[in-house]
Amino acid sequence: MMGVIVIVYTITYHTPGRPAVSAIKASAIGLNRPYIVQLGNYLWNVFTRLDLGKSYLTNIPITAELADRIPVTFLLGAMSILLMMIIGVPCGMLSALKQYSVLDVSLTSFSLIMSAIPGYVLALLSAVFFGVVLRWLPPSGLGSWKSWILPVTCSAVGSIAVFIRMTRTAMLEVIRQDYIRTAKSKGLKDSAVIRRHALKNCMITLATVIGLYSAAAFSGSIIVETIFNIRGMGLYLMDGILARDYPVINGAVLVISLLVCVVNLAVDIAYAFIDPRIKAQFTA
Amino acid sequence: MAELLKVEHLKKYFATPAGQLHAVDDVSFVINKGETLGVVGESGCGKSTLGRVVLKLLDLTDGRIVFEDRDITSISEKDSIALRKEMQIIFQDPYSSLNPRLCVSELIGDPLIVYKMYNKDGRQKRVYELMDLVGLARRFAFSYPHELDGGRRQRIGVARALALSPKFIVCDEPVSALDVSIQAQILNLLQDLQAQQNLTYIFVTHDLSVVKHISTDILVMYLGVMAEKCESKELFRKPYHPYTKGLLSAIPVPNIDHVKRPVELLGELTSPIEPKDECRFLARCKYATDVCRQGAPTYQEVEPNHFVTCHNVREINNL
Amino acid sequence: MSLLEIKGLTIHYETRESVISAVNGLDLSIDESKTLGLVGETGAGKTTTALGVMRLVPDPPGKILGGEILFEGKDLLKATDNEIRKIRGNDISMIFQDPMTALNPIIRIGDQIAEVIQLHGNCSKTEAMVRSLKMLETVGIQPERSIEYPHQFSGGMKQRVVIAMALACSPKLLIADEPTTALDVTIQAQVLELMNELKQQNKTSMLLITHDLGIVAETCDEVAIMYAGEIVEYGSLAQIFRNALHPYTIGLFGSIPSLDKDVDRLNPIQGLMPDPADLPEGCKFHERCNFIDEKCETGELETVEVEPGHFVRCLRVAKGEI
Repeated sequence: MMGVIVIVYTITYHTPGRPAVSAIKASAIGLNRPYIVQLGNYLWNVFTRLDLGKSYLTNIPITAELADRIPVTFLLGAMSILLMMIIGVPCGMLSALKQYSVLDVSLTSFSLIMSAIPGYVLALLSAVFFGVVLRWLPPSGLGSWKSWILPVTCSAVGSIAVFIRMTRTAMLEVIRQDYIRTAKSKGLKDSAVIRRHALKNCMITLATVIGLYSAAAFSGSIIVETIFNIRGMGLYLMDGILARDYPVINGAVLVISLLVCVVNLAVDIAYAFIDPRIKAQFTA
Repeated sequence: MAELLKVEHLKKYFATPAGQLHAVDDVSFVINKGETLGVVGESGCGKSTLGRVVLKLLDLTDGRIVFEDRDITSISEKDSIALRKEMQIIFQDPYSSLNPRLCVSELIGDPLIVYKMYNKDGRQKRVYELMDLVGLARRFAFSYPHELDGGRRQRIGVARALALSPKFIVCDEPVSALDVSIQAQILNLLQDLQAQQNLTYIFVTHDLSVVKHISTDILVMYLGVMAEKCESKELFRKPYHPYTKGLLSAIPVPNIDHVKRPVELLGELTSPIEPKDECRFLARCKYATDVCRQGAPTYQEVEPNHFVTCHNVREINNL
Repeated sequence: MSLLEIKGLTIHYETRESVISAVNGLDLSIDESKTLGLVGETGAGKTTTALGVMRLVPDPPGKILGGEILFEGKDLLKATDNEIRKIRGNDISMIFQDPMTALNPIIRIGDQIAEVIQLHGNCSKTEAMVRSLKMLETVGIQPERSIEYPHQFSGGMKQRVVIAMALACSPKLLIADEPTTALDVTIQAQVLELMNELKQQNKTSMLLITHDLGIVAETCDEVAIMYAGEIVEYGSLAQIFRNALHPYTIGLFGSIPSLDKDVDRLNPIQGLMPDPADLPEGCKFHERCNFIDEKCETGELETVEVEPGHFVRCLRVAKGEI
């Protein structure tokens, strides 16, 4: 965390172009002091008082603003990860179990195409198509449950595509293992072999991917929130960047990286629950 | 006969979270020129580590290595590179020890490039010479390892080891990954080369019939320590250490007239991490007495050139 | 009547690039409570044969192209998936080569054994567990360890668990595919002894796949030597060990360094096993054989019975020339 703060702070500090404040105000909030002193102050405030400073533009404390926005982004991210698992895992498994079948080929090509389309193109197109042309779903803002559909889907599609392929690979790997052959030689039905022996082992591999993609889901929120005009952290960060509002950038990046860390920690803990080999390392 | 390699009180410990792992613990031996020392033991007994420490591929914890009357225990990096010309290794797994992106002639010629020997034409000539020597047809010179079978790959490994005309080669389970008919071909090759070039081998293996076939002397290791060492045929006629006895009785013999002895060795290998000061074989030994618990036995010469590390060796064998 | 009889079994692996002829018209039979050793080198098709009997040849790319596998007179190749599942693990079970990977790493070993008992034994989960503990005891593992996971066991212990699993339903036929190859000799001796004991107690027949003639000598009643997907020689233990006739069998014996006798130089078979994607015509062994004549390169081979119960697939032996 410390590293992230220092790096981001340093980058924003050294970015050419002056921040969005007048010279008088600059000296008032200490922008004229040396870099090291400023960084030290910032770190001190973050770690002792959880104070991320105030926005240059609005003068609203960043912590307060983030507190409003984190739940929105978190919910958006969590729902898209959930969607990724709900769709990705079964599709990937089917794909692996029916390797080289029509279903497999079409799922694989679908996921290839989807992962090739950039997120913002997809988000824009679907906002225009479903929101403006068909008027099925609201194209921007957050209100009823309907307004969640487009943003969640758009931020999930890319990772669903990748997840299908990851699941497929993981599953193919698992079903070639000797213990699957052992399970079959016991006389278990194929469905029981998959359910009891393959699924959990497959999830161990996938847990890592989920951890990685949580990062993608949270950083992807920048695009989705901007396009669908959702008052989450992504939009906040985007506004900050556009306005050169450096404390905002620093604060938002800090929180996003914190979220990613938390999710990865959760994944690691989940590991220990699924995989006895890792649990043994913890208890030993 | 002139002695080529002398190892004295060699120790190699690895640090693990649970304590010091005694991989090789106080091993000493002498190998004469043109002879083969077979090192046998089960997996985890430290035999491969021993081979690597002797070649200085791993740093040793304690002890002394003398090669051609020169103490090489703590020589400089530069000298140790020069030493590689004299001492080489053949690895167990011909599948993973060869760089898959190099063709056969590059693999064999690589050491020649490293040591800047020969010009380009001379090098190619030498590569062909080596290929002839190990029985690899020249048409394979530009094939890649994955295109060849295990036996041919192991021939590459042998040719690569021979490229610098070493005096001494550590063969680390060179035939374990091969089928019997191919294994026999490689064993014959190693024996022929030894006769031709007066090579000296350390032959590390878990296969007792192979080690008997190829070795002059045999060293039996158990959990990092020397259990027994003597002349090859003698070991099979007169195994004195309880572990050697057990090991010999455990080998399935491809002869239906052979009377099967009951299993002598019970249990499994104990941990080599921070061993207690007692006989390491205690837990599996059916002859164990109180004295075995009171301290580690010493390595003693019970008969001329027959060494055993066992407290009760005389009682057990009526010597 | 023999318990298992394989006639003309042919299994190929078909990929876009090539067709690998793993098993080519193989004949075998195992009598009740007898042990047959199937011996051959890597790539001879031993494991594929075993998987064929279990109907577990991975498809794709594996295809069983022909033949019959008669188990108690019933053709397993014609059995429905349901029927074959009732046989697997119950009447025929299998021990695989590598105990390190044969057990599911995330399921307690007691549960893994109980699973097969519950499946075929028509019993409750509790009863299956009780029997699973008994099995563990039979193979020399303390029942308290049933709640442990495979990584907590050594290789030899894992193989004991696998054996417990395979024998849990008292199968009539046990297929053991290189059961001790991954183990150290002293552990191998313990595991072999255990298998022999249990086999005799339960009168189980066994198909033992191995490359080690020493193990064959100690455990088998009959021996089949396999080369390039065919059985080249078949006979009783004594016939094969005292009177080997096929040049390949003779070559195999010549390749093993002996512990009893002092041999200065081994007599290996020259050359290599032919590529199963491109098998030679005629006798598949002729390229490595010291006794060939022209007919071996093209001629049709037949398996002949040279003495009662001793079969050899070699033209020159058939003509009495060797």
